[in-house]
Amino acid sequence: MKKILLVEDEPLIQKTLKMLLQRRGHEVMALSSGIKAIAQIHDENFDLIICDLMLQDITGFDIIEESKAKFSPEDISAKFRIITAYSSPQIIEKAKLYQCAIYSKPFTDVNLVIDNILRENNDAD
Amino acid sequence: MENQSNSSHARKRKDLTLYIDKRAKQELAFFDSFEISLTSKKSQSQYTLKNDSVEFSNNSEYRLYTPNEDSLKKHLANIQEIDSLSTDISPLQNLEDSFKKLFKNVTHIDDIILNFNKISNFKHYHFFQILVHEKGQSQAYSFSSESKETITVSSYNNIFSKVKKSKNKHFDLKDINSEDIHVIGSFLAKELEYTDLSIIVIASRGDLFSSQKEEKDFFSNLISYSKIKLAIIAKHTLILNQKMKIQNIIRNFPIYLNISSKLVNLESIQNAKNSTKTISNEHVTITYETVESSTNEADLFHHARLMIMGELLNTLSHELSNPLFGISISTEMLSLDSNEKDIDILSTIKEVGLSASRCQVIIKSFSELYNETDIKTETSLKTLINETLTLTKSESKFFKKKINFINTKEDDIYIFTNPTYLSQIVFNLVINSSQSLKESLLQTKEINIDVQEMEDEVTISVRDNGPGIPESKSNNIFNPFVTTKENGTGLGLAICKRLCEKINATIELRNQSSEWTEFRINIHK
Repeated sequence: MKKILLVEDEPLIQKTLKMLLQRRGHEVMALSSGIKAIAQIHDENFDLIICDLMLQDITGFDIIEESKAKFSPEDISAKFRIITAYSSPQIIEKAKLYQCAIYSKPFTDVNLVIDNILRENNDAD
Repeated sequence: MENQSNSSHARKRKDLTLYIDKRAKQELAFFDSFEISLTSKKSQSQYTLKNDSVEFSNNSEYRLYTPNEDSLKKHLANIQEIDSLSTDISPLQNLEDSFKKLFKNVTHIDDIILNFNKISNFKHYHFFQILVHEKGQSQAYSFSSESKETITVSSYNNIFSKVKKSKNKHFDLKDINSEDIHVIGSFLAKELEYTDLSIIVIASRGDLFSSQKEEKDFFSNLISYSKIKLAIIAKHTLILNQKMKIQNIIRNFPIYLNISSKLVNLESIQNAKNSTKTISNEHVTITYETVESSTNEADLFHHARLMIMGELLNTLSHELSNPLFGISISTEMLSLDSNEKDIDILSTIKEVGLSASRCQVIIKSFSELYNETDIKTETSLKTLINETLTLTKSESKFFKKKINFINTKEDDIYIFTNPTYLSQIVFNLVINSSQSLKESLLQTKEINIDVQEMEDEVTISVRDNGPGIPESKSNNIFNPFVTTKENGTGLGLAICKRLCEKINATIELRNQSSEWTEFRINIHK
């Protein structure tokens, strides 16, 4: 069982992903706010952080930057998963800096994406 | 100008004498002619118009204007007559000889300066300087045997006004305190004024002794006598200067100039396409290129609209795709949890999911439709026309629309073309038809789109049973600003025509039968 933080502000996506992850036996905390997510990352110890890039308040990259206080670059690369609807070359370039896997919405097969996100080694498909 | 002919002098000489105001005097001074200036003792200033010359005289000088050199010589032959009118003149022959010496083989002001010493009266003079200012220019030029330089206009004007005010034209350095006069000692100076130019000539022996009166007079007379010739040489020198400056610039900075002349006329574009003309020499190359105009109104209008639509659809597609994806995956998840659920609920959930997916597809294809790129793709006409009709819904929803694929089995035709442009054309035609049908009083209002594949072309015809196009406008309906609508811009069909050219198609208004108004697009394969 993993302790997972899901940061996604689109309610239906958040709800569905949370349920699908829970059904696989993981403990999931779901948040819409990036600022609240940063606070949670400081207070709790998550095994995995799934993070949307375009949030209402801040961006997913801001969350990663703030997490640097707590995590080493290796931790960041291992823990963070980026999901985004804006997979422009610039964004992919930036995600590479953190060595984070990036998944573009919409997913063609949700379950396959969840399988990949949960895999230990951090390879995007 | 006062016009009087009652002078006794004029009557005696059977000539017309004119009394002239100051301004006219200046204008007459530019009588394009040779000019002689001599001192005389006549009591009043007057111009005398003769057969082939004009005489000017006042208290101090006598001038003769003649239209050419020949007639001047004639007057020189009659020098006795002038002699009788004037007393203490320098011998005219001497002036003429000196003039010839001064301007011998002269093309540049520098040559004049060198020639001064060849005139016997000036053989003791060591220094000559000529200053030239072209009116309106921000600097004046100074030429002397020692240097050539540019001087400020204010300095030039200072010298000029002082020379002009002086009666004996003799100066020493304290009379004119200027760094731009390179004279040691006293000097003679004479100013000349033209409509577009002024010149100052300075001569000096390089000592402090005052010049003889004869010298002063001779200098003054010679310069006045040389007025026209001096102006010609001065101008020539300035032009030469300018030319050298430009040549220097070009030599140091070779610039490739590319000048494109853009066409405005929609009609002539096809004929003039790709014509280029190049003019070049060793320094500069100018290429005239006839380019496809992007500046005509129809194009601008279309481009702007495409940009706005494209941006709007892009934003929409980004903003909508996230919630639509949420609907898709949540319904997918719900429908997988089939136990304990009503069949009706399950099928409804599936429908919701399918609708969301369809929305995603529509948004994606629309944003692609308004992507202004010149990329051709294999395009399904059925899909393209259907999508275009969806776009026109706000205008066309009240009318019956039908797409007919003629002589095809699959009810679709694929064509390799630019889908954005083709969709734009069909869009414009359907919008036109819809707006026209709004005016119609018919019970059944219809828009038919017939698609037909032929050997070397595919035709798409859009027809409606609306009121049609009046005959007076049908001939130039594709021209910009021709419209049948009250608030139309008249650009829609002009745009269609331009877009057709881009995709190697033609568009025509078919013979209007009483029932249908038909536009046909012929796309060459």
